[in-house]
Amino acid sequence: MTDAAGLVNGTSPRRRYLRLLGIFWRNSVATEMEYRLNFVANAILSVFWLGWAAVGVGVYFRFADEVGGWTYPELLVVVGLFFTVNGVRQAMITPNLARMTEYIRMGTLDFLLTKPVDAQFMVSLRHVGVFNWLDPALGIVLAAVGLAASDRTPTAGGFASFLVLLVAGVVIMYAVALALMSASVWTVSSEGMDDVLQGMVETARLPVQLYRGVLQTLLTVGLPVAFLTTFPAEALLGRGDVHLLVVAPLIALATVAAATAIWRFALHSYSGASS
Amino acid sequence: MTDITDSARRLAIAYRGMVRAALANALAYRGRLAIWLLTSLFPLIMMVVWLNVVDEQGPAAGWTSSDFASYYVAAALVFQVTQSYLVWIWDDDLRNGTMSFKLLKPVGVFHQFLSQEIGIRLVTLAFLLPVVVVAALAIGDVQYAVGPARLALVALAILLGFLLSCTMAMSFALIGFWSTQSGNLYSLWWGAGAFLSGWIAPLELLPDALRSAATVLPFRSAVGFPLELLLGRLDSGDVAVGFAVTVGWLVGFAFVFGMGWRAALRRYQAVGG
Repeated sequence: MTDAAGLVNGTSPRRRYLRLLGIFWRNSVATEMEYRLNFVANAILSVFWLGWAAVGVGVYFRFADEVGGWTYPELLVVVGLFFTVNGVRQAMITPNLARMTEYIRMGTLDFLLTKPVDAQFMVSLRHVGVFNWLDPALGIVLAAVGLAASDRTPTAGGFASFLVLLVAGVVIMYAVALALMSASVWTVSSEGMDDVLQGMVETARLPVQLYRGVLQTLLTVGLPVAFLTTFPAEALLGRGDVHLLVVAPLIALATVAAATAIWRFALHSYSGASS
Repeated sequence: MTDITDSARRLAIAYRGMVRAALANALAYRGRLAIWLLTSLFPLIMMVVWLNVVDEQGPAAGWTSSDFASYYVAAALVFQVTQSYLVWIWDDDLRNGTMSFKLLKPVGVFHQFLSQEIGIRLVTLAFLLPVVVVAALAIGDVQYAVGPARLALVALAILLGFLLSCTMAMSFALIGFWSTQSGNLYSLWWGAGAFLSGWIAPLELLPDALRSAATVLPFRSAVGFPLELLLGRLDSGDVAVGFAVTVGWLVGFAFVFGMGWRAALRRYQAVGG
């Protein structure tokens, strides 16, 4: 194992954090690979749920060629991106969010705060769930299938926009998760926090245009669900709004900044487990 | 004869106590309940998409906006009946040793879990009902073929569907005595069944082959059957078949559980439970 002192002295902060991330993730993988049967079983279930979602959404198209301006293959792109974004949530956010209750109740948070690395980094990225490793990749495959079936090849610009918007969407999702983690410092529990985030992300299974009126506005402006799957999908399909290329990263930065501020404020008012 | 009525009476008394305890237990988690309520409204999301389809294309297979609204508003309540975490609760109890405690109690483990489920469902439905009523009023256009006789039939269908759903779940839970994969296997079963139950979409909107299969399979009993009954879309022949299928599968799974339980206990004791 790597010597802790060697990590802290003589390496730039960015390299240090990257090496830590590598250690954390190798650790998580090693732990979860102990349960090889579960690993395989979860892979099978990932494929099953992907097929289930793809076929389920197809029922609407028995009666229409287009719903809300989206054809079936175009909709599959959104469903695929949902699996990617949701997979990232389950792998990187859920394990850490779930542990917040334990950190606070057991006083582990105090312990984390004494470590020479940023507590936000530890709390956010310490654990990675390996069981859903296949979901992000499967999601991309489904999106590619949808693209092919809708006869669209993204231009270089379209693909680049897609990457920007997808990353912005994931960052926004992280910002919401961080805000929830901060809230759990106050409520001394993160129970149900993952359910809230999951509920929000679940609405991204479908493009935001399929919801109507108030709900659609809410999911674009109130809760930034449209940024998760709808906007990246539109970029891939060549029907996106160009302004989003500026707006999305700005919103991503703003939400992360706000969430980080909330986190710092929560830590300030955190008086420790022993008080 | 008196023996059977005696033990039935004792079981009923036990249930009253257990369900009350389960209610208290479930109420302790009312913080999480608010979040469960949000996820319970997922059927309304599916409804919105159908309303879009009808808006753009006209009625789908004869289903109008009103039909979809009525179906899914009721579904928000009825879906709760089938979505239980029994298999995972059971698996947890097996892994952390609580099963041993449950085995020591004078009431059968099946009844302990069933009363726990009843408690959770009652609390969830109690909180969900006002939300659904508000949603129904907001959506408007919600109509049910409600005569007292029909409502009684719907209630009976929901009750039997609930019992079938629990018995089926617990039969899968038994797999936990031999394997760690009971939850995943149940997920596959439930997932496939979602197409045949009326969960993914009202059964009348699915291809004929699926509809025919759904009529004889257990999945429809707790989901599509009570809903179609409530919407007045079944004639008396269909109703009779629906109840017969439900009761048949209930008896079948009760038998499977009974047989499986004996084998499971032997195994549990063999590995030092």
